[in-house]
Amino acid sequence: MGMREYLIKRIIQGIVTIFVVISINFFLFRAMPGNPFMRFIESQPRGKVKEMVDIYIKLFGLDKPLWEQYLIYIKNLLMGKFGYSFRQVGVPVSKIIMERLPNTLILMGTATTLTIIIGIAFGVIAAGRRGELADISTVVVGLTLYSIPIFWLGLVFILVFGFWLGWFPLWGMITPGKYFSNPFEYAVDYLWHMTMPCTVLVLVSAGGWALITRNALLDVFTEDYILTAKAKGLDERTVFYKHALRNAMLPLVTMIALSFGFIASGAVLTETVFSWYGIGRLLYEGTMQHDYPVVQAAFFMIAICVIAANIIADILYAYLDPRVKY
Amino acid sequence: MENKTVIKVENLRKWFPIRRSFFATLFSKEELYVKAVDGVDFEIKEREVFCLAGESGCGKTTTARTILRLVEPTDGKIYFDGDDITHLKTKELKPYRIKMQIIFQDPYESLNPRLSVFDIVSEPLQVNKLYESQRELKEKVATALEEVELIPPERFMYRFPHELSGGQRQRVAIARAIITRPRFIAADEPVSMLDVSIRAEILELMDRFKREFNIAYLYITHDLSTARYVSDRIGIMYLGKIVETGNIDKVLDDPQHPYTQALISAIPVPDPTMKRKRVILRGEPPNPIYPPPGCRFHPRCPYAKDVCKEKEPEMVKVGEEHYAACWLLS
Repeated sequence: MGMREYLIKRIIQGIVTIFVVISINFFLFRAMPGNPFMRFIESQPRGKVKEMVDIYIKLFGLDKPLWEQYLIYIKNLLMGKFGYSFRQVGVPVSKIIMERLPNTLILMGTATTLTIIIGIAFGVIAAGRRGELADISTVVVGLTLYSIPIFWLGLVFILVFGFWLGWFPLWGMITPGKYFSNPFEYAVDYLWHMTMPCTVLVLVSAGGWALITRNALLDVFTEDYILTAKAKGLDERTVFYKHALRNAMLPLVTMIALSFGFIASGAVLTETVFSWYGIGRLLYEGTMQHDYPVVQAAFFMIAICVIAANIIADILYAYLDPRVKY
Repeated sequence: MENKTVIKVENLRKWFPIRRSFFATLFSKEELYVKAVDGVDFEIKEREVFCLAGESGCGKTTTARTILRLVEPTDGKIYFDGDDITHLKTKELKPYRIKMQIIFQDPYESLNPRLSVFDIVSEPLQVNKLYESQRELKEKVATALEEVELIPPERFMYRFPHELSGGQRQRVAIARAIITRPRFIAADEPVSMLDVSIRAEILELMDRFKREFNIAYLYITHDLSTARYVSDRIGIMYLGKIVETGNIDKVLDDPQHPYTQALISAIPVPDPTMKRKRVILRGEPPNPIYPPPGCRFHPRCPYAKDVCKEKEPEMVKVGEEHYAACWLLS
């Protein structure tokens, strides 16, 4: 099978997966208890609550049978229409998502890139000094960070660096009410707000990366071709980088591609803890408020990113590893 | 003319320290070692094949790797062409790396899966700058591939290891080993992972290089029948020590040490009617962290006497070109 056929096959598989995801997506939220309009209507003047709810239910077509709603939903998706928010009546879902997406991409993109670089660097250092202090500390610190719940670490950071020391803002993305004379000032304020959520994300995930990199390298070290390379007269550095690291990187490349696929999904816990106006918090809010169209559209976008990342990972892998055949 | 000695090993020891838990090191200062190789002497001449045989875990492989300085020796001396290479640093060792090579047991593990055959075979030349031009490099690789009978070489050069059969892979490993024209090759069970049908071909190939390039071989095996086929002399290893050594035919036809006798009696004979004396060994080899006192073999030896439990036997001459270390013989 050639590369072309493989690609076509993978893309068809991807489309089928996306279809399954959006279907589950649709029924999942409708199986949840509660009425999407109850809370919204509680704020209205007393008296005509029942009538109001009925009007909204009719307006959004929720009185139709489930299969009809499903067909309409699929039809609209295929036409690129994501519908309107239940919560912010009249606002299109795509606008809500596009408002949040850049914030999430900046936070998650930075955090993921730093996580991978720092994690792999520590893993390489640890594996190169096996059994020494640098190795043992990497393993201990890595395992500790790996086991810390991210929302807890976030709260500790807010308490220590935000509240007690006052180094960083407690929440949000820019200082409210501040006047910015140029975009640069705005960027500085934005990054200043991003420091804590980004640090927390990196700390919690880099540990795992360091451990995985270390293990992958140690696995390769015991292969005979490493001894062969040494016997050829190669110096330690070349053996390490050319023969060991190149082979150890193979499983990591897949993981790197996949973790970039998850960038768009945001970080639900971190964004919620730090009040970051991104996709993660949108998912949390949307679920709490029964805002089906918003959450469905967000899930749809995340599914596409993850599936695309998967396909890219497979292609990269095939390119890097001569053993993989199509 | 007398053949020159290429490799000489004196009282070689390799003890691997044991990694222990933090608490164990806290409460006891005693360091524990796996005594993989514990006092081994032998020498190998040009065009000579010296065989190290013994059970799994007796230290054969570690001995080979230590001689090539792929693992650091704990004690003893290693001489290459009369030069002491025991403590040479990586840089000083480089000229010797060209002259000594190793062939591993498993050709699926010893070739880097991400390099092509050309990269694998040419790397020794590239590292040691043994070529003038790209053309020369390519020619040398082609010659080496032809020598191991991967013909035509162009067909194999740009393939990857996974595209070759086990026998072809082992040929690539041999081409890589001989391309720098080494004087010494350690062959660590080079045919035990291969189909029986190709074993003989690979052994023939190694034998041909021995004659053409005056190579000295250290042949490591647990298979005494291939040992007799290729080797001139043999050393039987048990728990890090050589217990019997000498001319291969003398040792195998007239074994003196009880362990050698047991090994030989374990070789299957393809004749069910033939009656022969079997020496069955009891138990497993002891733990190499705590080798038994006295003769290491005494807990499993059917003839063990009191002296065997207390004092270690010396190597004594038991015949022309034939030595063994056993209290029964002295």
